[in-house]
Amino acid sequence: MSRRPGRRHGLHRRCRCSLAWAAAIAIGLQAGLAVTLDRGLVVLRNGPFHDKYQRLCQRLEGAARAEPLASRGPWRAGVPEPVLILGSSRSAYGFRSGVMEERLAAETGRPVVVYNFSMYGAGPTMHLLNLRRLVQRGVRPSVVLVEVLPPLLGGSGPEPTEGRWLYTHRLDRDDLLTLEAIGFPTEPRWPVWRWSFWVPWYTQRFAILSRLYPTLLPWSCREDWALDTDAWGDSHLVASALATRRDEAIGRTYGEYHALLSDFQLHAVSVAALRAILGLCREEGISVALVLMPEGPAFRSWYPASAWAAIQAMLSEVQRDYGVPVVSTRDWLTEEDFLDSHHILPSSAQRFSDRFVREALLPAFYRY
Amino acid sequence: MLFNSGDFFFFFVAVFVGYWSLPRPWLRLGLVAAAVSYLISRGDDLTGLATALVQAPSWPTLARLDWRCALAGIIGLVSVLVVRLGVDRARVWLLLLSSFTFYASWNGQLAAIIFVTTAVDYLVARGMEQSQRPVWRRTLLVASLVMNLGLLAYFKYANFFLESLDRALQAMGASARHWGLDVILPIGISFYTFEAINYTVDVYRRRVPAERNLANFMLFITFFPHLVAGPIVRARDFLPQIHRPKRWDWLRLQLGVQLVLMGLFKKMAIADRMALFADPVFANPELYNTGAAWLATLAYALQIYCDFSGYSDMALGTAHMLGYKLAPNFNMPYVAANISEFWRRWHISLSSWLRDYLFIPLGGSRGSMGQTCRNLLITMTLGGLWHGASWTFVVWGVLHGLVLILHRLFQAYCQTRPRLAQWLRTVPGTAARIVLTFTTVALLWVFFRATTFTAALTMFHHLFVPHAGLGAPLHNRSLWYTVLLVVVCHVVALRGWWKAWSVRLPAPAMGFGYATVLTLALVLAPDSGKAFIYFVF
Repeated sequence: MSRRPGRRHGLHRRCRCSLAWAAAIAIGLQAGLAVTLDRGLVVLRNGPFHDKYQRLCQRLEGAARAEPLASRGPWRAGVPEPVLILGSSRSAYGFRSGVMEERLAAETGRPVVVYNFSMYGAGPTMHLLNLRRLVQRGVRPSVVLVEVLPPLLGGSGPEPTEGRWLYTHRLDRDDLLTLEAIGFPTEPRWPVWRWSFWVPWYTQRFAILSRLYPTLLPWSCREDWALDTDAWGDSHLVASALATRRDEAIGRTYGEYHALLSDFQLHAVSVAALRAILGLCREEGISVALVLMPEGPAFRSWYPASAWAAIQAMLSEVQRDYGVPVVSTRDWLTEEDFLDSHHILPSSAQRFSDRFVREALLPAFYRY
Repeated sequence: MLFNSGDFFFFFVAVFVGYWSLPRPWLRLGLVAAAVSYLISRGDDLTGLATALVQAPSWPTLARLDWRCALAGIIGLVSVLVVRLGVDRARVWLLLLSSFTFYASWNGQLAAIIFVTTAVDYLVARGMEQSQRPVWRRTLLVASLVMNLGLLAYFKYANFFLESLDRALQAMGASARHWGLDVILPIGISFYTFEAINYTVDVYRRRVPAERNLANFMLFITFFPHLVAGPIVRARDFLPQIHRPKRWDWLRLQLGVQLVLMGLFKKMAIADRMALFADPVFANPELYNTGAAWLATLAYALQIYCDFSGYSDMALGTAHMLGYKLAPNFNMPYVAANISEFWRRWHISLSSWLRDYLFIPLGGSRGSMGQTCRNLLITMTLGGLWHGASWTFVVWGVLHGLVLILHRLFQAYCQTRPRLAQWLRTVPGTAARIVLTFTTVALLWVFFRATTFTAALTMFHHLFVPHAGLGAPLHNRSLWYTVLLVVVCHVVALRGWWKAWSVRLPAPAMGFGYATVLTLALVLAPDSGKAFIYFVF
């Protein structure tokens, strides 16, 4: 009789210990990863940025072994001049940085490294965050080409349209403070960020799986896509995309962009982000140009006249205030050069890049 | 508020802490302080709501009350009232009010409907118990059935029947009338309606006594772990548990945690992951090749099992953690060796409900083979319709009924062929029967999953006639690993290894196992939580 309560007591103690161990290990795992991420495990916090940054470093270090990456002094003769492209998928697919690099080196007689730091869905806010991170890490390009993606300059809510692709779990504290400084409404994002900070095994799960077992994820959730870019950071359209019929692709693009453009309104935060990029470049002594990428006739026809007038007025104002060139290549290509009226086909990307160097880059920065 | 959401985690933790803290005065004080400080922190919202209520007092305005504020208020209030009510009654009230809050977090107005119908059922049952006049008792029973089934028919089936009628009239040459009603389907209506019916019928049959306390009865119907997707609880199992005093029990807590973790893993790491294979193919079957169609069918079979049994595990687990035991709803249905066994292992609470309240009253299997087959067909057809207001569900039910009939006929045939019957009982025979049963069930899920007949037929066409097209939406390896994991888990459970190991494993190893399962569930969750499939039924 006396053994049964004792056995039950032992079982209870075992259960209590099991649960205590479970809680301690589960909390320890979350906290451990949270602290590691906070200490700078960028590969999980922001995979695409990390991958592109690593490759940029390799390119720069490979091209100029004598110059440590972190040095921030003026670039010496013989040291390649980095030219950085900050853009969206349009730039990622549209520029052939290798072609540009070759052409620039040939024309200027100086070594040049062109790197395409474009990210899918990036607008001025993400460009600002990326440029700030790069500058903080000691990368100081001599020229930055900032793509202006008109649909992502707008928005009607408190956040600009670009906010949709600005995933809170990919931001760090400094990013949120940078956003705050340009008037981005960060108040709703802080609680989400704190939550994402303390439960990193959940919030960073796509990043974790992208590194450990990418085939478990659908393409839309993968955060390792930047590993598929080439040595210059350019993306290449895959065969299945190239096989898509153009009218179908244009229809899809219309579905994605028509609503954004039909009641387009410039968003103050996007304009502030663009200005902040130019301010940062001025501060760091970086030459900069704003680039409007080519659009097919179909895409161009979706802009209401008032929207385009507002964009042009804003760009003129920015050009005047900061003295930067605005390169419009909107009508450089025909519909046949695009997959879907705004992503350039590989064959045309080469031609476009070559022309871009000849008609825009060289006159603006290398032949004063 | 989904079971696999952060909101539910906080809701449950608050209820759990409040529930077990009630007996200790200093813990109650802490609860009151926490509730008051939370409500003060939300002062602006509450003042705004109070002002709106004063200006225009209405139910929709009150329904805007945030569930967190409501729960904080409930916990604070019950902590104060415990001195007067006693701990056990206070716990009942805490669970009851938090269950209404849980339901109202979806739709406050529909919570009012449950309140009214439950109150009516309570009165009807009391009336039936007290009356000795069979006619009056029968009238009360019919009134209750009409109310419960009437609400179910109105909310769930009215549009279905009106649209079907409209289509039939159009087929006969009439012009389209578009009779659709603007109604919202109350979540879990099919589940709590069946619970209410089993109670009133059992009281009528004098199998259970009518519950004297309205709060107890309401808790039976609205207890949040089983409210929205079952298991369908029987009054005779649940009501006595309300009367029993609850004591803290580490064993039960561990069991509850184990079930919740298992449910979370099934839902987040398997069901939602399998949806990545199944959803795109079922959405556009014409685009995919035959291999992708078969993989999608297999993935959906796993998805629906892990989704629903995962929910049931979480329901059982959370109930255990609050001192209640709900009947298990699944018992490894995919190892069933025939379709009858499948239905004894799948959604057990529904199958047994249909058996007790529909199949047996229709005559069960007491009559001739023809009558038994008819009863099976009626039961399964209505069972199919119970799942959803669509002809695809009806067909799914009818087909299951037909397969059950075929099985009965085959059983009768086997009785005259002893050698065949003997071979079927051998290991290869049993394996063949399991594979055949699983394949049949998986193929019948196509009707369950497809949104239209055309989609279902296209899917079958792609399954059985080789087609070119897109491949599986995700790498196949992920699916095969999941299949392997499910098979291994089944083997471990069937062999009784888990029962044997779990008592021998040292506490740190168990703890590590629990933490690993939780972390894996979090890492493998494919997207922000999908709703449980059975929530819409």
